Amino acid sequence: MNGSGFDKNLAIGIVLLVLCGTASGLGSRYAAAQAGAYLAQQADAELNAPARHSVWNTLRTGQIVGRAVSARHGSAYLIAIKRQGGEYRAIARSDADGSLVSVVPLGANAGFSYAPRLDALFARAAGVAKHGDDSPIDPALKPMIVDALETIATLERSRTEAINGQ
Amino acid sequence: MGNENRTVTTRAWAAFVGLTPLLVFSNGLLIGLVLGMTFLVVHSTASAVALLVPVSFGQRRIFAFSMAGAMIASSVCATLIRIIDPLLFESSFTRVFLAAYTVPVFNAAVVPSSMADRERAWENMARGLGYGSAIVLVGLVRELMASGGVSIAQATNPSVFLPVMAQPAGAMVLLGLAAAGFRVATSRGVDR
Repeated sequence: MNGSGFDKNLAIGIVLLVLCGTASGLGSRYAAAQAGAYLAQQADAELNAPARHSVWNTLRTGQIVGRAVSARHGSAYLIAIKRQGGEYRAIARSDADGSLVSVVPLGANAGFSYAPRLDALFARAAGVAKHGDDSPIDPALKPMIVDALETIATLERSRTEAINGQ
Repeated sequence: MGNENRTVTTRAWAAFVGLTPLLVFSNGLLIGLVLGMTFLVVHSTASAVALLVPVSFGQRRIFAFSMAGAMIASSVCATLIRIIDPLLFESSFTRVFLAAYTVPVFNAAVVPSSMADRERAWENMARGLGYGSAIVLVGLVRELMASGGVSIAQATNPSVFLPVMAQPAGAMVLLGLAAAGFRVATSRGVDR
């Protein structure tokens, strides 16, 4: 350190750190854009509608990771239900008022024992469940399904209201 | 010699306890690979920055620089994971950033006090590799026990064998057994 209190090495170190941080931030933005394009494409492929040409919005609200919005075909939401020991993912298509149209399960981690019941409960919510398909763990899982569907309804309604307001 | 052994054992226990959050989060091979790789990069960055920064900065500034480097490294790892598999990033990003806040990384960020220690600093890299491998191994064993197999793909109907092993309780059981084995092994070494 010199007499004026200015340390050249320290200044260089701080500048390098700021440059690295900025480069990392720019890289993160690029990754976010790439990930958005991939997730929108993935959602369209899972819904068997590659012509949707959706645009991805990352939301991370409750159990909703984000949504793929198509100008003509409405929204599809990526749901990730996390429980201890794993994660279950599904894509839910909703209509303009936020009610569920269909659910496509994407899968769960190996060893995640709740996956079959979550599949069944989502199918029931979409109105395609088998009669008499019940399990004692359903009451513990139902609140998560209800929460996910209510979040989708709220998000979709606020999106359509924003569009109508413009 | 006895004191040296005790110091090594104490440091190993401290590292083991410090790594517990990552070991608990590592409940499958894929997430284990993500956390292990991130930990290795973050740990190596922290130790490399601690060695590269001039000693004239003083211990506190060197620690601050090393930790800042470790955080940038964890951000770079998260970016790479996001580009490679966005779905994996969405399920693991909160855990990836935790890697920079573990005791072994704090230890690596402290500048070695003596010249002899600085010359042996490459051992930090080997330590990071060992810890990273331990995280991957714990993920592998837990997934194997939880599902009866190992896969890096998500399944629409996943197999289930011993589901408790995928949960934090399973991690604690496994870590307890590993700690007991470690203690038996080190006590035998001291007896000799």
